[in-house]
Amino acid sequence: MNITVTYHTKLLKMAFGSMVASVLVGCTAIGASEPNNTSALPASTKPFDGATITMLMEELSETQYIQDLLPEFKSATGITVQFENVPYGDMYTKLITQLTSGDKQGAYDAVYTDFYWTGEFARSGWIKPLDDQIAADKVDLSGIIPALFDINGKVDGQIYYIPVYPYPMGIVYRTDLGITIPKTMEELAAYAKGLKKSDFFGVAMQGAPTDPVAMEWLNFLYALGGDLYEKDGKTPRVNDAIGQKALSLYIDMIDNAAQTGAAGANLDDASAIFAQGKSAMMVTYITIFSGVFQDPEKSTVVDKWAVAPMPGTGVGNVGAWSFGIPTSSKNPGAAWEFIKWVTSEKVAKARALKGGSPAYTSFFTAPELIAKYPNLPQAYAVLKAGKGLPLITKQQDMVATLGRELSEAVTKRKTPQKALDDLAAKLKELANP
Amino acid sequence: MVARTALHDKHSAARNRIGDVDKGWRFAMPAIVTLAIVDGFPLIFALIASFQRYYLSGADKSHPFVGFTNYSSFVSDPAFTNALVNTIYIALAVVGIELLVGFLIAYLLALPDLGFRGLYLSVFLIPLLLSPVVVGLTWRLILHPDLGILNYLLGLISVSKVAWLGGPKTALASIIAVDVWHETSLVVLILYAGIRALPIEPQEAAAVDGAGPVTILLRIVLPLMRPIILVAFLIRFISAIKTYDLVYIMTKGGPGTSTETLSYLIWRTGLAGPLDIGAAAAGSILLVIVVAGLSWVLLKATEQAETYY
Repeated sequence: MNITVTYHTKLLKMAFGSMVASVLVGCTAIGASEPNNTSALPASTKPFDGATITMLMEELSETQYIQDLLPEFKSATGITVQFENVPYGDMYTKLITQLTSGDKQGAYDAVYTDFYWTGEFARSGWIKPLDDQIAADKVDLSGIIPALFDINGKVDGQIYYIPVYPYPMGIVYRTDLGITIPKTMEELAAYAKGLKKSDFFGVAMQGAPTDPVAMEWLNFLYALGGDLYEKDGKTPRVNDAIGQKALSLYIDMIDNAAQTGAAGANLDDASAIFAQGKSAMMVTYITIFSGVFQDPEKSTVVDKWAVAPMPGTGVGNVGAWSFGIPTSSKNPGAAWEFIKWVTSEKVAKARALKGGSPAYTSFFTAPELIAKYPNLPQAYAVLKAGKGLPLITKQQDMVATLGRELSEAVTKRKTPQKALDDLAAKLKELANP
Repeated sequence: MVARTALHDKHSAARNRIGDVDKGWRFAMPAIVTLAIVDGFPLIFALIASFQRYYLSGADKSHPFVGFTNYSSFVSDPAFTNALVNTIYIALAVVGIELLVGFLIAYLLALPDLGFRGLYLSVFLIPLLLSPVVVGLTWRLILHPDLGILNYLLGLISVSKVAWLGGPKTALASIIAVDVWHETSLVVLILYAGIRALPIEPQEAAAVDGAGPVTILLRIVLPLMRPIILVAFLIRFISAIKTYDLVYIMTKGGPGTSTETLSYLIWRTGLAGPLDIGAAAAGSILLVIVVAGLSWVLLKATEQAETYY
């Protein structure tokens, strides 16, 4: 018995000792890696030399354009940037799990934020406000399209994110087939149905839940003069007569004008159809496909396409991607250097020359860009007329519910009226917590 | 309890019994501690969270106690009923088909004069080695309406393209079909082992008495196989109730919510929009209770099957 007691005591002492030791080592490690993110000028020109920062990015051409330019950033600052590229649908969940990890515990040093995550992330205390750093480093943001800061930049009066690129939506159409865009949405639906043949479609659509169908349908709603909420931002009106008409036109086009399987198609599917020359039109993001549709290796419609605003009111959906710094970032200083670099005018122009969507007002009239992408002036007009989403905190839930209810109506599991009514009930809950 | 043999009892029973049990616990301690942390902590966390108002986002980070509110709101949501129906439908369909097809394959594999048995077994076991994510991604490509090979092959015999994962009925059927493709191998494995272990005498006696192969199959083999079939059924059913990965990879619960299962709904509630960890935890606990109950039934059935041989 005595031997057992001594053995147990020894074991306990060893365990306790190693626990204390590991806690001490841990504290020292955290203390040592505390980055220098004060606003004082750094002593050397490469204060973060050797650092590596990671961020989650969308698997899309825009990301590739930035990736192509990263070696320049590394040679200028010594910072290695690692992109984790995933399909859009997987981003939100991956981000949430990292953003909630707590101070400096997250895997991502900067957060690439879509425009309907803006309010939720900021109001949950997950993002650092940037006003002080912008002032301290004298960052000039005046060249960026001002409206983008309302869509994805400022929350409750503070700047949390710097816009990277906007994505206005409208119509992309073929210019070599004698197509004219009608003046009203009803005429558009009839026109698109008329254009459909056995292997050629009037319109390439993306009816898959939840982001594709939600983004595409909002254009239908806005073009008819409708909206999700009344002006007070709290009373839903999505199920009024305009909403119902928008939904029935949408379902009509999915069934009778769009490609096979449109009800389950996402952005990649639909844009591939247009790029392969198999559809006359597409309601889509009019600035991000410049690089794809003009690339002879990826598209058969090079120089054969143009952009137009939605018929009716001409108002389309406008979104934007921005960068913010999470409170869970392990290296906010290096992350800030990256954000300043990637949103700077020089780098933004390089991205736009590759085919990226321009974020600076001046780019839409810059001669070298218009030479390559003649649709830019028209795209700018569409962007200016466009509308973003209400900045309620539960935006992601709002869009996901919108997408789900729309899909239920598109696949005939619910009548359009019921889908819109259920959606309105949920929208009311979300805007009035 | 470790079985006590006669030899143990001969050598100073009292002292050795205490020593053996004590040593046994010490050897098992690392595994028990690991299981307690890895399994126990999330379970207890979920149990506590299920009684709290717990949202991941938002300015208010408090978690007040709310009693059974999460349970009642999770169960009264129409999405829950939809998911429950889908889950039971999928589970019964996949298990039913897998047992039928699996038994057929296992019976044919066990035929005495079958050549290349090793080759067949290896081929049939390949799906089992693949992870559900790989299976889901590969089949999603195969079933793609424009780029998928299935529609291409159908096109060769003049069948028009079908949007397999885009229509509500076809999406559910596709998920069931892919699960059957993936998991029949497991059923084949279990049933094949069972058929091989059957005593040959009753079958020979029946053949001598003039019974044909079908009669032998229906009247002798099947009844003898009942405990094994029950074990295969329960193992697959418990797994099918938790179907999540195929849904996430292939349809994301769509179109609409036609392929949403309980596990997927729990995930969606907690991490994909509502960020309502309280309700998701409540749903998880309910699922745990159901699965635990079924596992207890499985345990009893396994014991019965063991004593049979």
